[in-house]
Amino acid sequence: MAGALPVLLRHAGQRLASTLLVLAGAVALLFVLTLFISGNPAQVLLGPRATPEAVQAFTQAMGLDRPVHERFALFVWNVLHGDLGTDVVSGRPVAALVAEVLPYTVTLTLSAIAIAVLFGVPLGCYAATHPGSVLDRAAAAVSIGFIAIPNFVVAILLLMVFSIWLDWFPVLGVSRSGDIGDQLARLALPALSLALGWIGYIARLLRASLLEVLGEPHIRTLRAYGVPDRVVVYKYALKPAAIPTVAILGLGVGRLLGGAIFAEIVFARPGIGTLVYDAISSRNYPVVQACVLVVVALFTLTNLAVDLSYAWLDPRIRRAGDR
Amino acid sequence: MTASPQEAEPLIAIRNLSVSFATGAGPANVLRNVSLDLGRGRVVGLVGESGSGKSTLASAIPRLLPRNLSRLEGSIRYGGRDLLALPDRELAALRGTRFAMIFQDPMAALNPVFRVGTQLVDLQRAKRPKDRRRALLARAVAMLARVGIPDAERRLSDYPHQFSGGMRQRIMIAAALLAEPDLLIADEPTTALDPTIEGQIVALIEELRQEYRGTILLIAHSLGLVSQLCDDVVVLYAGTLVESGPAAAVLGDPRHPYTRALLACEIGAGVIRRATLASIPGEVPDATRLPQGCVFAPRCPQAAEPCRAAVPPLRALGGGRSVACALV
Repeated sequence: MAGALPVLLRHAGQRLASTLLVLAGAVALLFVLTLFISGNPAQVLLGPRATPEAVQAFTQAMGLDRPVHERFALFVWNVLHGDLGTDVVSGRPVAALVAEVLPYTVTLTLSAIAIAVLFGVPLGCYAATHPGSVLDRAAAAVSIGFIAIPNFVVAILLLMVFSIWLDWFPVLGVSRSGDIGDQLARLALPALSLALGWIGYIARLLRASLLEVLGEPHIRTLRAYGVPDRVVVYKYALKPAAIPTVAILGLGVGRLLGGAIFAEIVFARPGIGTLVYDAISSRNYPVVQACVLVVVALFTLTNLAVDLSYAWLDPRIRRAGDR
Repeated sequence: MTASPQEAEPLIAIRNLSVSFATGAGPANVLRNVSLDLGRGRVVGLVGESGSGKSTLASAIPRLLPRNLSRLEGSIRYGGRDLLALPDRELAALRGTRFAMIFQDPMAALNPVFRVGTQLVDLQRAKRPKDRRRALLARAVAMLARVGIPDAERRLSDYPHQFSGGMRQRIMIAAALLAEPDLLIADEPTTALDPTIEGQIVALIEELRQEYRGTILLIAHSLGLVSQLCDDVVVLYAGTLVESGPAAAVLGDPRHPYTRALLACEIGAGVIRRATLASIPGEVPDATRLPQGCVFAPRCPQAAEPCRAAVPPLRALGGGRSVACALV
């Protein structure tokens, strides 16, 4: 029997390879999409009142007059070197722009996931161990409500209630000072607006898979040996029940990133969302391209992490990778 | 069902136990008025066809019954207390300390995503709440070696799927013995195993029998297993106790027509006379629609008028034997 570590490493290697393949595909697709921008991209970017000389100069500067395969090779080469192009408005490198706002988006998304897990998991465990109870039914109704309401509506409602009426939280923006308290206060509402739907989603998913696991014979074994309910549910049932929830959570990160765009706009926070929104408004397509690439990268990397966590959650998967 | 009248009071005394479950077709009366004693230090075999209520009877003692339980009546006395009247918390304290179980399907009885060592530590925790994890692991290693798992120390860090079915059942037996219970309930411990592995597990149980002083309740659907391992036998049919007593006496001279029919099926099993292999005509009645009178009457070759009129009571025959048949 091979040790667990080499098997895990091989599994990780395979997953990493397929992740890189997806990223390469995304890069190619992004490049192809720029070919479909109707008309002369330089004309589109510079607007209808640009002089022919300006268009000519811009076309040369961007390398748009070269053949497609050369442009593609250049694009890939640049991406590999972390050069995502130049912001046509400010003239700054796009990579620097993205790097500047990325931490805000990542913080927001991670905070939302943390809040969702922190509330969703205990709620799901409670609902599964007390099916039909008042809290279970209330949680079901509230969850479905929050899943159904779009993120940006929740964001605006939270903003109205907690910032404007109750004045508990600052209204907009992020703190640029080093004050952690202020930063957290400004993070709370946007993160909550993203997390609310997910709390219910996680709770419902976990409830369903926990109910299934709790009916399995190995749970009966634990009960027959007087293992306390707390250990039965939170240790022995939660781990196998977490697998489908983690799978959905991994896929949901894409939706969460989409939601983050709205949250950033509503709360006027800097981030990939605000950046891409402004870039689309001003047809700043190198920035749009870079943002999409970064979001795709975040999404595929998250799914890589999810895939690897399966191997930890379910040792039988490691075994399957061994064969 | 004490073997001799002068023996001390039984470990467990079940009186008029009735268990029903709520089903779509109405209440299923899975056990009706079952009374029996489990003598101290005895191996009691519980036999009957599938659906006879064997597993329900065994699960009723530690009160591990499914959620759709709708009726639980009678009494199960243990250590001067009625287990059916005990608060949940006090009953749970007996599980894993006084009672332990081995289950039918060793593939499913262990958690697939935790190491065997971790599970054996938690399964011992109720018995030894103050021991360190290291000490419990050491006990587990010794017990695994005892039940015949080679290289036990290294295998503690393996997961259940890395063991064969027979090895997993050995792990379950180790878990049960680690609890040093007064009562070990073994629910068809060999049914899910290959015949060759079954023989090994039976041999192991027989061997451990010499060291373990507690009572064993062995659920079996093979009378061969009962005659090999058990001191006493209890025969259930459709939720009713039809015959009980010392295994040698009951199997040597069965009094109830159902016990006789079961034995007839069994004797044919090993022999090549497949064509004449006996089987009991008819089938076990649906627990939601039980017949009037004796439950076995519809399938009984000797059934007469009194059988269909009233449920025959369980009567003592002397020598620790009892039978519920109007014709005996």
